[in-house]
Formats: sequence, C-alpha cells, structure tokens
Amino acid sequence: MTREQFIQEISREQEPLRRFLCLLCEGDSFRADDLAQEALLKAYLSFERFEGRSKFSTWLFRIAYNCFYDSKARNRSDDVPIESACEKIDDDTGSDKRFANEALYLAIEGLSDQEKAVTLLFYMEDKSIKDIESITGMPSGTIRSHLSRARGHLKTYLEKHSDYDR
Amino acid sequence: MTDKDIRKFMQENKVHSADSKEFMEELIRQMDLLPTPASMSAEDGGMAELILEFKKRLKRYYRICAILTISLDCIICVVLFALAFLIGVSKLTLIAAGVLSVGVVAWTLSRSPLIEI
Repeated sequence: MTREQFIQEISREQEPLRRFLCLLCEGDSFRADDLAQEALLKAYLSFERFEGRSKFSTWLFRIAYNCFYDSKARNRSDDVPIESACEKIDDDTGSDKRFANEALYLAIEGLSDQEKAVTLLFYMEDKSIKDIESITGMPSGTIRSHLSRARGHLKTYLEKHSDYDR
Repeated sequence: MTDKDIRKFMQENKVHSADSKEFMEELIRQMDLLPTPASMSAEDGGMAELILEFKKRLKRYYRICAILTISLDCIICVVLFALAFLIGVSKLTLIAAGVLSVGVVAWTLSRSPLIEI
C-alpha cells in the first residue's frame, strides 16, 4: 500500500472512528479528534506491522481503542481538581454534540467504558463478535456478557421512551 | 423490545462529524512532518513486499518441516512402544530411542520460527 492509498483508506474510516471515540469520550469531540489523530498517525508509522490478518478498519479501531485507554490512564495519573474540571465542562464547546444526540448519550450513560465500547461496536458500527474480539482484546464470552448487560440496560431505557416502545 | 429496535435507535442517533475535510487536512499536514514509512515509499515498497513474501514462505517451509518431523517422531514412539510391549525390547534401548526422538524434536523446533508465530 502506498501513502496515497493509505490516506484514501483512512479518509473512508475516519468518520466511524471519530464517532466511536466521541461517544467513548462522552461527547467531548475535541478530545475524540485528538485521539483519532493520534491513532491514525500511529497506524501510519506502524503500518509495516499490519499483517492483513484482520480487516484494515478493525486494525484502526484497535489502535484507537488502545489510545483511548492510554489517555484515560494518563488523565488518571494527573487528576484535575473538581472545581477546575467543572469550569472546563462549562467552557467546553466540544460537548455541543452531546446535546445534539442527547438521547443516545443518556441511553448509554449507566454503562461502563467496556460495555459502552462493545455496545457501540456491535450495534452502531455493525462489527461482528470476532471483530470486537480483535479490537478490544476481550474473549468472546466476556463480550457476550457485556452485550447482554448493555442490552438489558438499553431495553429498560428505551421502554421508558414511547417513541421506541413498539 | 428486540435487538432490532436497539440497532434502529443506535442508527437513528448516530453522531455525524461535519468537519471531516478539516480533520483530514490537518492529519495529512501532520503526516507530512513525519518520515514516510519504508513499506509505503514507492522505491522501497516493492522491496519490502518482496522481503515480506520471502519471510512468509520461509515461515511456511519451517512450519511444514516441524510438523512433518513431529509426526514422524510420534510414529517412531508408537512403533517403539508397540515393540516394547509385543516383543519385549530392553528398557535401555527404549530410553535411548526416546531420548533420540526428543532430541530430534528439540532440534527441529530450535531451527523453526514456530515459537515466534
């Protein structure tokens, strides 16, 4: 694959990748875009390691998922005081997207990060269990149990909202 | 409430990124600042592909060799045990044959990249 082909491929994949990260980052689209950029640059630099055993998009999602967890670990190590974190949320215009898709954010709110990731990949990005295994590194049994819990949670939420109660 | 309804809800509430063009422009600008990976450059790309292809073939060759040797070793072991039980070959001969078989397997594995796969 040449550089131009690589750019073509990632321009096709960048939107689902950014959407996935944005939802994991609870609507913080600036942080999601930073993570997506970091992931895509990492993919570019380590393209030699892509052996074609999985789909290209699965490989990109895996890198992005790892970037998300790395950044989470980094943020945990330099914890921000609550007051300044609140100020940050007030100023954060990147959270606008959260309000545009509020129903979705509210529906997945009570889920853990792992459950959220598995649910989004399965229901929103239409990834198979095998692909989710490759992306998250979780065994299929764990994925199924996360999905089952998330399904229950989403059903409860949706049943409360008449629009989807059919 | 079925899986279909959940999927429908998810699809209807999909987040859409409007600024894809700006994102890609910035990404390409960042990529320009980085060195082009060897596997992607036009000159080295072909050579890299050749090396990767050679590596794959070599791995396949060693894997086949290892599998054949292990299979052969298993057959020898079965024959030895059969001999020991049916004809009554001495224990010492049996131990020597066993050590030899294990040696052959160890030597084959040490030569093959099977462990790295």
